[in-house]
Amino acid sequence: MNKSSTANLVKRWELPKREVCYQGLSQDDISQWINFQKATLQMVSDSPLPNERMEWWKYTSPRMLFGILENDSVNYSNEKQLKDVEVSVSGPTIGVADATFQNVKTFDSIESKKEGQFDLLHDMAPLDQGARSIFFLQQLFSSAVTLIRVPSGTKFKEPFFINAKAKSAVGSYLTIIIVERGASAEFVEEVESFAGSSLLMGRTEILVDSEGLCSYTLSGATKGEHSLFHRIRGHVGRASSLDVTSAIFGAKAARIEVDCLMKKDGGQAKIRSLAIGSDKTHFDLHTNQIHIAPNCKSELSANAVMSDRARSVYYGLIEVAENAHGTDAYQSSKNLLLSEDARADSVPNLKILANEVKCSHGATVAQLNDDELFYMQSRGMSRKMAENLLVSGFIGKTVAEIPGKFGRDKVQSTLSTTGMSLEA
Amino acid sequence: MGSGKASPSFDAVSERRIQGKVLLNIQDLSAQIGECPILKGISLTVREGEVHAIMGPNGSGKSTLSKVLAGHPSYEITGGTVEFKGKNLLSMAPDERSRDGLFLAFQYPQEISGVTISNFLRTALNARRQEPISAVDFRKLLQLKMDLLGMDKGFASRFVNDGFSGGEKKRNEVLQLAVLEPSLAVLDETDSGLDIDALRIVSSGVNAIREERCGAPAVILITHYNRILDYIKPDFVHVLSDGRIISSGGPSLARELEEKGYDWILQKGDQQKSGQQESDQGCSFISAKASSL
Repeated sequence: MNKSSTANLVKRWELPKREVCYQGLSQDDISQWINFQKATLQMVSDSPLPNERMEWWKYTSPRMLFGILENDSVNYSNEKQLKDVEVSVSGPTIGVADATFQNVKTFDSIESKKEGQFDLLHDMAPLDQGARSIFFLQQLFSSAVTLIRVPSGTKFKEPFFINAKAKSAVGSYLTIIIVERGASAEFVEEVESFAGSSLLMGRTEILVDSEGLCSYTLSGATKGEHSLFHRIRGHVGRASSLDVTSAIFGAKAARIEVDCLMKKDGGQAKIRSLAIGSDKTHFDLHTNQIHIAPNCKSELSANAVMSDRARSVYYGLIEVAENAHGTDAYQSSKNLLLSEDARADSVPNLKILANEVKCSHGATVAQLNDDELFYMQSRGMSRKMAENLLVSGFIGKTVAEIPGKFGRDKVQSTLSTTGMSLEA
Repeated sequence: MGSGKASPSFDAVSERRIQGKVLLNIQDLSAQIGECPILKGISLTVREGEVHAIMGPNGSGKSTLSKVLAGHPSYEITGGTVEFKGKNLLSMAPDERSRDGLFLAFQYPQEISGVTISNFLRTALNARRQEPISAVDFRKLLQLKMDLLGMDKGFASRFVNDGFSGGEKKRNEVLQLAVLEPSLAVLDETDSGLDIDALRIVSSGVNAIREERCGAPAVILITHYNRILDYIKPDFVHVLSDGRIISSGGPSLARELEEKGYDWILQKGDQQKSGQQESDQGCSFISAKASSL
C-alpha cells in the first residue's frame, strides 16, 4: 500500500454522514471527537501507511492486514454500512457513562505535558511513523467510542464486559478505560469478526492512576479471511498495577500491539499474549515496555502455538529512559511449533539509558518434547492424546496466569469454540 | 539367572508365591543404544504379586532394563523375548504396555508444565477405559488414593512435576501407581535423591498400595542401596553387572551385598563371562548416559 492509495481511500470518506455510536460521552465530548476526526483526516492524508521496509513491519506485510482498504467493494458512503462496529458494555453501572473527556484531560496523576492538551488521545509516544498513520486511520474510522471510568477508591468485584462486533467489512472502534486513584476493576473485551473477508481495528487506551489495579483481557477467535488489528496502550501511574492479556485464536492475519508506559514511580505492568494459529494464520505481537519513571516493573510473556503453515512473530522493545533507575523489566517469548512448515520469529530488543536497571529477555522456539511424550505414553496415553495434552498444557499455563477470574473464563470459553479444551 | 534361569525358590515366601501365574517372562534379552550394547542376555521371571529387587553398580544396565520394558524408542532390541501376561511385550507400543498393566516409576520423572496432576491422571485413566470416568467419580477416586498415601489435597492441582522437589516427584510417581493400578510396577531407583523421611513416606506408599489391593501388583525394584529394602521387602534379589544378571538370591543376598559390597560378586560375574569376547569397549560412557535418560 502506498501514499496515493491512502489518499484515494480518504477521498471516499464522508465524515458528516457517518453515524457514530458514542457511549459515556457528553455532547461537548462528541463535538470534540468529531473535530478530532476531522483533524485526523488531514493527518491520514499526510502520513504514509507502513511498509515492509520499516523495521517494525518487516515480518508482517501491512497489505496482509490493511489490503482490504484498497478494495473498491468497500463503500464507506453507503448508509447501510455506517455502523461498522457495534460495541456493547455490561458491568457495574456506576462506572459506565459517568465520565467526560474533560476528566481525561485533567487526570490528576498523569499530567499532560501541555495544559489543555487532550493527552490520552494525542500522545504519540512511542509511535513510529508507520504506527502513527495507523493510529490516525483508526481514529478516523472509529464508529464507536466508549469511555469507562472506575471512580476513585471503588473496587469492583464484577467485571466490565466489552463486546465489539464487526457489522461490515471494515470497522474500527475506540475504548478508553480509566481506573482512578486506588480503584480496582477487571475488564474483559471480546472481539467478533464480520462474516467473510474483513478487517476489525480496535484501540484500547487504559489509564491506571496511583495505586489503581486493572486487569484487562482481550479475547477473540475467528476463522476464514478475517484480519484483526488491535492496539492496547496502558498508562501506568504511581504504585499502580496493570495486567494485560491478549488471547487471539485463528485469524487469517492479526497484529496486536501493546504498549505499557511506565509513567510514575513504582508502577507495575504485565503483558501476556497467547496466540494459536493453523492453516496460513499470520500472528504478529508487537510490544513496547517504556520505562519513563524510576522503580517500575514490567514483564512480558508471549506464547504462541502454530501448526500447519501458520506463522507467529514477536517483536518487542524494553526502553528505559535515563532517569528510570531501579527498572526491572523482562521479556519472554515461547513458541510451540506443531508442524515442519510452521514458523516463529522472536525479536526481543533492549534500549537502556539508565544505569541501575535489571532487564533481560529470553526466547524459545520448539517442537513437542519426545521425552515428555514418552512419559505420557508410558501412562497409557496414545501419542495423539499425549500431544494434545502437551499443547493444552502449554496453553493452560498461560491461561492460568491470567489474574482475573472472568478473563480466564472468557479465554477458556473462547478456546472451547475452537474445539480445544484445557481439561480432559 | 543371568546366563541361567531364575532359581525356583529362595525362602518360605518365594515357596508360597511360586504358585502364582507368570506375569513377566524375560528370556535372553539384549538391547543397545546406538551401536553400544547395554543389555547382554537377561533372563528373569516375575510372577503375580512378587517383589524382585534388581541391584548393581552404576552403568550395569538397571535403568536400561526398565526403559526397554516400558518401550523407550531410543533402545534397539537385539535379541531375546519378553512376554507380559503371555503376550509379546516387545511388539507393543509404550502406551499399549501401560494399558495392559505395566507401570514404570521413572528415576527422573518429566515435568509437564501447564498440565495439572489431576488432568494428567484423568487422561491416563480414561485412556484405559471404555467409558470416560465422570469428573465426580474421578475426584472421589483421586481423593481416596491421596488419602491412602497421606497426600495433601492441593497436590493434585499442581502442574505435573513442575518445580517439585525430588521427594515430591517420587511421591507423584507413587500416586500415579496408586491410581492406574498396574499389575506390574517397575520402580527405577525410586529411592535415589530421597532423604530418609522421604524414603519412608514413598516406601510406605508403595506398601499401602500393595496392601490395599487384593491382587497386589508385582514389583521390580531397581536400586543401588539396601535401605529401601528395609521398607519394601523383596522376595528375590538379583545383581546386574555389565548387562547381565550375575547372581540371584533371597533377601539374604541384599544383606550380604550390604556387608561385602559388590566386588566379591562382580568377580563371580567376571568368571561367568570369561572367554566371551567383549566388543563394546569404550561404551561405558554411553551406557552411563543412556541409563540416566
